[in-house]
Amino acid sequence: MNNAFNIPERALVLGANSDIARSTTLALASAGTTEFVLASRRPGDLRPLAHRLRAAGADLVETVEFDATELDTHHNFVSATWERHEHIDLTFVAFGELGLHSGAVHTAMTNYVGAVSILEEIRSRLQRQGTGTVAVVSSVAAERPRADNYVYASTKAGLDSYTRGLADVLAPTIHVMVVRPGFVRSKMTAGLDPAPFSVDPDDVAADIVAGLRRRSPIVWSPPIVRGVMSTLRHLPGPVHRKITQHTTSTPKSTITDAFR
Amino acid sequence: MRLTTPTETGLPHDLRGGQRTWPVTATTISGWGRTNPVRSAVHHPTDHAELEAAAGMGPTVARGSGRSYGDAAQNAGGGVIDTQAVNRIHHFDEQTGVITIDAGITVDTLLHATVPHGWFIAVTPGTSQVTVGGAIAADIHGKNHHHDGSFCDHVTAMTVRTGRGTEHLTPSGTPEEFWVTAGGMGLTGVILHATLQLRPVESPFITATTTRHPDLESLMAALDVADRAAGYSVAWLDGLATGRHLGRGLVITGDHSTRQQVEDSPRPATPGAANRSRSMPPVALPIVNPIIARGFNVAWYRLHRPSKQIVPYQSFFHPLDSVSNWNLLYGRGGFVQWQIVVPDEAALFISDALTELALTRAGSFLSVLKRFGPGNPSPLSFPMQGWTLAVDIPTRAPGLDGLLRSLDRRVAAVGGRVYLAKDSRLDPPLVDAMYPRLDEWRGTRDEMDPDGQFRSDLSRRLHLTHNKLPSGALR
Ligand SMILES: Cc1cc2nc3c(=O)[nH]c(=O)nc-3n(C[C@H](O)[C@H](O)[C@H](O)COP(=O)(O)OP(=O)(O)OC[C@H]3O[C@@H](n4cnc5c(N)ncnc54)[C@H](O)[C@@H]3O)c2cc1C
Ligand SMILES: NC(=O)c1ccc[n+]([C@@H]2O[C@H](COP(=O)([O-])OP(=O)(O)OC[C@H]3O[C@@H](n4cnc5c(N)ncnc54)[C@H](OP(=O)(O)O)[C@@H]3O)[C@@H](O)[C@H]2O)c1
Repeated sequence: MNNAFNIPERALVLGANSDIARSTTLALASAGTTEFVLASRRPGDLRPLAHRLRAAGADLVETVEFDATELDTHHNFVSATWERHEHIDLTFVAFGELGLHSGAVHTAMTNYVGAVSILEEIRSRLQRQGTGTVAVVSSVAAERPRADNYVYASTKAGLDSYTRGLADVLAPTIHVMVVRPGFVRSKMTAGLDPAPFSVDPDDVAADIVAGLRRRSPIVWSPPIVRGVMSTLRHLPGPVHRKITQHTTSTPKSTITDAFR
Repeated sequence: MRLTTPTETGLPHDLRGGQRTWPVTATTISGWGRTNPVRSAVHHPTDHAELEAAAGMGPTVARGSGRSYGDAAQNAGGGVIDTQAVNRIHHFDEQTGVITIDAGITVDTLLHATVPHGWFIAVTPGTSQVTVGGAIAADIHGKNHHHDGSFCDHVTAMTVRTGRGTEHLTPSGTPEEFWVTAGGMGLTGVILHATLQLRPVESPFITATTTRHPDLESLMAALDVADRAAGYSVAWLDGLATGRHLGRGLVITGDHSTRQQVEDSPRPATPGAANRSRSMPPVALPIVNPIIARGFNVAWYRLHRPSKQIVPYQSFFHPLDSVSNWNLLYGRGGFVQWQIVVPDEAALFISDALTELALTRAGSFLSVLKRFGPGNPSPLSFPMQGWTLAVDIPTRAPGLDGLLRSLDRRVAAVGGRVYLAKDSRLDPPLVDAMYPRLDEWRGTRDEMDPDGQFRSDLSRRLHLTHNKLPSGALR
């Protein structure tokens, strides 16, 4: 069960190989979470994380196979998970792809359709268990697309909107939290120039755990990107385009690069 | 609140084992601290037979007035049995002070019926709103623990719908089942009714004294003396004072006033006057912030002059009842009450804990300190010989989670414990250390509930029971 500070006892992590997920599970373990169900396309790769979680005090770490794009497996995945564990306190959705090489439809399938598919299965479980938390990693890119990331940005916009709606459906007993990181130095952004306000996965993890404690509806990481995005969002289209074109045409990173 | 059929609640807790004649509502509930609200199928039985039948529809847990601070009386996704409507007095012997009542009756209702006949409840908590069922399940203590023990020391019999059926329990006939139910947090079944031995009183008044003490050392010394001098004693302290003021506060003692004392009193008070309830607006406003709490603590300390007065029992025992829903003052995130007891030898820990808690600068109203006498045979009963400290703190206080976790480890290390009726955040492994007889309790409990019909969020969070759910319960 969640404790009074909304620290879960048992967490399900979808996309557990992600750098942000790894840091977040470790932060949760030190905050008192003792059971982890780690799900990934390659569960074998989760072994080092499982080991570290056990060393940090976890009693139970399961690694299971999960692919966001294999929609027809989602129902059974969720049934089997809830069969083994009568309730899941925190569901953490971390998977996602930037889609630089995989094609627009694949990115949409992973980030939006895959997430909606699995979360709709989970929603009915949460309604029945009457308690729990959902944290979904969106992105500041959800706030405003740019020429060089518009597909990704649109999937995150859809996911972000879905998650905020889910929060209304499940309130007040189930806390649903949108996480909007800026530029995070992770596998996903390897090779890209780190932008201003860029953070490490550990920083995002700390912001996520703090958000759980406060039952925040939205977590910005780092918090300052909230103000920056609010400015960018209100820029007139031509101005925004100019800035972003400028960015994409020069190798030097600028402020808008922060927003993957 | 809309009445619904069990399937309409959308919760998996549905009808098993027969026809239901009472309303069930899918309701969001929480404890007094308002942390962890959950959705449960709340059963509202209207009479004894319905209560007994509802208790057979596990997984459920009984709920009294919901005055426990954490998650003891809630059951996410399962059933909760609201006992409050079944609240009759069955038999009251005005000669012997023996009374048999439904478990859903509140201490307040009971006192209104018995005090005019010269009988008082043997143990009362700091609010009269708790039910007798809740008082037994938490084996609650009062300001007289050092003389009279806890609530269940005065229970002579109870009838409980356990997982095996309806059982009549007494301390001499069925000692194991009796003491596992006493302090058993509702996990052996639903207490239907109980027989209590009341104590005789000559008046509805308390002769109360208040003394002021500038630091923790003098306060603890004064409590030690007060314990011997008076039937009731407690210290209220300024939880935000630090340095040389650390632990300053008031020692309040009392005894039931005799008829003579009341007649000799210059200004006879009117009984019941203190009981008029003022209500908070029904929204959570974060009014308790560090600055207001600071001001309140200082003012409260300064305004109380040493005194000796005759006061109505309500204002002595249940001062907070005059403002209903004061728990809303702590704001949306709710608050925790951290109540611990440490053995006499570890009395120094109290000052360490107060120092660290004051450093969080978290807004807290009064903190309470008291001496306990020896405990009773109940394996999960909280009181034990030593010092008990209770502190209310809003959950949003920065760093509170980590601080309390580290204090808990030290409480366990010195042989102390956390009060389960107040808890919403303890680390599960510490419960076994704090309650060394937990396994013995589990053994008898499991026998009384062979199919795992009774569970609460508390029992799941702290792994108090290790029964699996009845299969199919949460599919
Ligand atoms: C202002 C305030 C002051 C307090 N002061 C004190 C104090 O001085 N000393 C003290 O010891 N405690 C004190 N408490 C705590 C309170 O006395 C206990 O939490 C008590 O259990 C609350 O009773 P309730 O009827 O509200 O029960 P609930 O909070 O509804 O339930 C508490 C537990 O009792 C069980 N239960 C309730 N009814 C039944 C039943 N019929 N059969 C089986 N199990 C049942 C529930 O399952 C749950 O585990 C105080 C609380 C408040 C809010
Ligand atoms: N890095 C940033 O700047 C940034 C900024 C804002 C938001 N985010 C978001 O943060 C989340 C985590 O990203 P990260 O930065 O930690 O990068 P990451 O390490 O690359 O994590 C992304 C993870 O998603 C998983 N994944 C991809 N497709 C999947 C699928 N079909 N099924 C299951 N899992 C799949 C990957 O699994 P494998 O390990 O199996 O490949 C990978 O572990 C993502 O949602 C991302 O969009 C990142």
